[in-house]
Amino acid sequence: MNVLVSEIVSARALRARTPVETAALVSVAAFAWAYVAIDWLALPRLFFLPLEDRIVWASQTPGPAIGYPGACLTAGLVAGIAAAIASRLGPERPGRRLGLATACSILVAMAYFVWRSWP
Amino acid sequence: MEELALTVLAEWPARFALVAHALLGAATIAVSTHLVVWTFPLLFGRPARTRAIGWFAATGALLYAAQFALGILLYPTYKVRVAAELAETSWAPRLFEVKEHWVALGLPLLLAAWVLARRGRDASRLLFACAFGAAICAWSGGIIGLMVTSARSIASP
Repeated sequence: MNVLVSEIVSARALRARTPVETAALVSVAAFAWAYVAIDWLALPRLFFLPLEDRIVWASQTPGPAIGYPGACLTAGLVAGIAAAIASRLGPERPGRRLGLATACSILVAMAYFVWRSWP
Repeated sequence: MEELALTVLAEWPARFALVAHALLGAATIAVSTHLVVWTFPLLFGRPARTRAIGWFAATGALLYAAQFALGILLYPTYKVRVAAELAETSWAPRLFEVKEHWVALGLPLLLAAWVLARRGRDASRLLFACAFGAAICAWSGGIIGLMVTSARSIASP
């Protein structure tokens, strides 16, 4: 019984040490950068062709094609991997610099899409 | 009658889906704004109702994700029926693209707010920042969505 209680206590302590805040910040910033990079560098992703009801893996497609969900999926995957790495290696408490860098990532991504859509 | 792919909805189903999209959007904006207001006291170390904040964060994230999914469902219809026709002549499709990307950036922010809300008071400032960013994305999505719909909706001309 005592062993079990001590294990529960140590498991709780371990969970409390997990740098959730750092992982959250890193994943948001990674999503923003990955999402911009996919568009800027025209990286391959899933495209849905609405006239053909078909999904293709490509970097560009002729005619009306929807690459938006594919880009979100890829950026989400990158964000998930970044969060997993940050939760293992990152500091317990994120510094102010990481917070600012994440805020800048979101603002840069927003500005990029305005610039790209409205040249 | 012109035959279109299954994912391009007919006029009436698309109209109903658009109304549902608008209602869900209003709910998302309302809940994400509430989350910002309720987490605001945490910035100054004042007491806040953490249980209610957790509820708003969870509901907001679920609504945002549902709204996102419904938007993706409607997307082929808009792309084929509206955007293709207006591409060269109107500002609406370009503004629509800004909306879709900004809204996509808001989803991880709200998911992060949900995760942080489960931590209670530990991540208070960060929680407020994520909620604020997500609310900005939700509001801009709603406002731009209305502007784009005012230019031309999914109905045939």
